Amino acid sequence: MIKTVLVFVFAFVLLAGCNDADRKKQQFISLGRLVYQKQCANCHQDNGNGYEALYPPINQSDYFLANPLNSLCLIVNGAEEPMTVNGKEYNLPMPSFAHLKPDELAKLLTYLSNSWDNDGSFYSEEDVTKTLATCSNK
Amino acid sequence: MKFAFKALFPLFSIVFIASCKFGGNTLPYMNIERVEGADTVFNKIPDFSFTNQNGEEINKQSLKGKVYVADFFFVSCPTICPVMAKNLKKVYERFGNNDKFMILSHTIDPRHDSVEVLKNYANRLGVAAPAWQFVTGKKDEIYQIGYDFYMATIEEDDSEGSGGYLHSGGLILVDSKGRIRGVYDGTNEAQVGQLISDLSILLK
Ligand code: HEC
Repeated sequence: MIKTVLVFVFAFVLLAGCNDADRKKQQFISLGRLVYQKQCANCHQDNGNGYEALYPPINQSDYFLANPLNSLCLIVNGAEEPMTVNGKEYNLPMPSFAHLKPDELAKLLTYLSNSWDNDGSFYSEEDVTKTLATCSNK
Repeated sequence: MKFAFKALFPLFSIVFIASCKFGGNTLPYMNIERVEGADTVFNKIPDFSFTNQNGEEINKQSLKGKVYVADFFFVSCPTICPVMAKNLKKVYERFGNNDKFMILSHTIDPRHDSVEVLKNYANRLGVAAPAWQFVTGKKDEIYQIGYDFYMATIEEDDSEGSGGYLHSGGLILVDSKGRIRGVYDGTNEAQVGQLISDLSILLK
């Protein structure tokens, strides 16, 4: 309990000293976490490391980090074809998340990029909308 | 002293009755059909014929003498099945090399979940028959046994995010005489812990 309060106080002190861009990024990370916990964590796990040979990792995934925006089409359309992540082959289907809106996707992507050992990038709603326009059948 | 004895007496009789009724443990019986005098008649598992991930037939005979956990799932299930599989794997790791133990996972999507699909899933989960049987078969037969014997909730459902089916995520514990001894929520870690301790009782 005290820990939680302290985390909030620290977060507040830190945020108070931040500029707008940082604040927006922090906000996206927190809200993106909610989307991840609800929609993705049952397969990819809280630690982002995936589960057995069934579900691939997103933490330190070469597939994801090559260009996180490229994963948007996959998230929205789902995946059927086998893929290789960090040298291992995966082939279970991933369901489509066509109901996620661009702002939720921007938050989700920002959360994924800023979690575990990933690279810390920020994605705006505009970035997402632009990429979504390039996905086939969407 | 006298008081203590008085208080203990009903306690003893309860323990005594319980142990004679439940044969030394307190797991309930959940598929009693009727009681005839001193005899309890159980709802019996119907005959069935399914195929496992190795292409082998699994039927009533395969369950003989087994203490097993039955569940209903499908490979492309987006929501609760991945959690159930992870929890069930803990059960498998604990009892997998006891030859009286078995997990019987029925697909409720036999159209997609062929023998090969089930085999791929089992391999990727890192589990194998005979301790963990993934079975497919005629859809009607799977649903019927689910409703009639295992008291499971299974429905087709096309609402968002369901993956096409609605089901309860229940794990059904059956003893070596075909009697249902417990139903647990496979997505709840505490209940899966209870299942593990109940299994230890039945496998003693
Ligand atoms: C039902 C389980 C399941 C759920 C839920 C799920 N995924 Fe996946 N995910 C998979 C599988 C299986 C693959 C591999 C697909 C393939 O082999 O074609 C995958 C692949 C991926 C990949 C590309 C490979 C990698 O790991 O870098 C990303 C990124 C990804 N998922 C993100 C998500 C996000 C974000 C969500 C939530 C919106 C999500 N997934 C929900 C099962 C799931």
